[in-house]
Amino acid sequence: MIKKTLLFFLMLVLMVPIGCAPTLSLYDQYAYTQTTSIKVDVLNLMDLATEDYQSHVKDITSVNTEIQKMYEYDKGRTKDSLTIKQWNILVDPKNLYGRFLNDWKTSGHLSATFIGDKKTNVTAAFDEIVKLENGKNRAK
Amino acid sequence: MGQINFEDIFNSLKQGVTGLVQTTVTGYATQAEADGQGLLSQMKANLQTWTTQLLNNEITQAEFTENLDDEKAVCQMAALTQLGIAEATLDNFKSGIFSLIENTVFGLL
Repeated sequence: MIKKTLLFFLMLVLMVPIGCAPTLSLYDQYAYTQTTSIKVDVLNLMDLATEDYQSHVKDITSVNTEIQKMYEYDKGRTKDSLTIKQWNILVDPKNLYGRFLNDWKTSGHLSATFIGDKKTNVTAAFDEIVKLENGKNRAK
Repeated sequence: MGQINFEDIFNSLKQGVTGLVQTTVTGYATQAEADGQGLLSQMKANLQTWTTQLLNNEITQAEFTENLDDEKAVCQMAALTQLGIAEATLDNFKSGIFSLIENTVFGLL
């Protein structure tokens, strides 16, 4: 009986470092707030794409800098690789916001209809980042 | 400290784990299914809109294709969200097991 009890407590001690560390970062209020704020800035910027790209370079740079700051912040968090992957998809030149900027730069300006379509998907993309952040465990 | 019956502790833990599964993992599975259905409904509405726009020459074929590519990208992001929420749920579940062990063992002392 004593042997079983000792074995039980030994198992407990061993289980903690082996496989019981959290696998995902905890919820971060700053990340949540900043992401929702950047979402609004990006969507507002997208509305400007009916106008000439060159006349909004400053606005584009400003929004991109905000995204870069957020990306670096998330990169600095431990076990936050899933959120980083989401940011990478969002800004990839082949997808969503990254592709939108390329389109705008290449075409000079875009139609309001197409901008509306892009905004629908960019909104959904940001919502996924926010949803993931919101789904993380809170610090106890 | 009195005698501790390990088999009683272990049986109690097994019952506790079953309870945790019902309140954590099962709950997630239901949520995941609901999210999947929601995503599907969202895609259907977008496809309808883009097809109409294409037929009315409001967007080009290239833009239509780009919209589909974006939709795929959003699906990838949604999959990452689901994975993350599953990991968070599992973390919570593991944490619950340790609390259960502690409460069960200390409750018997």
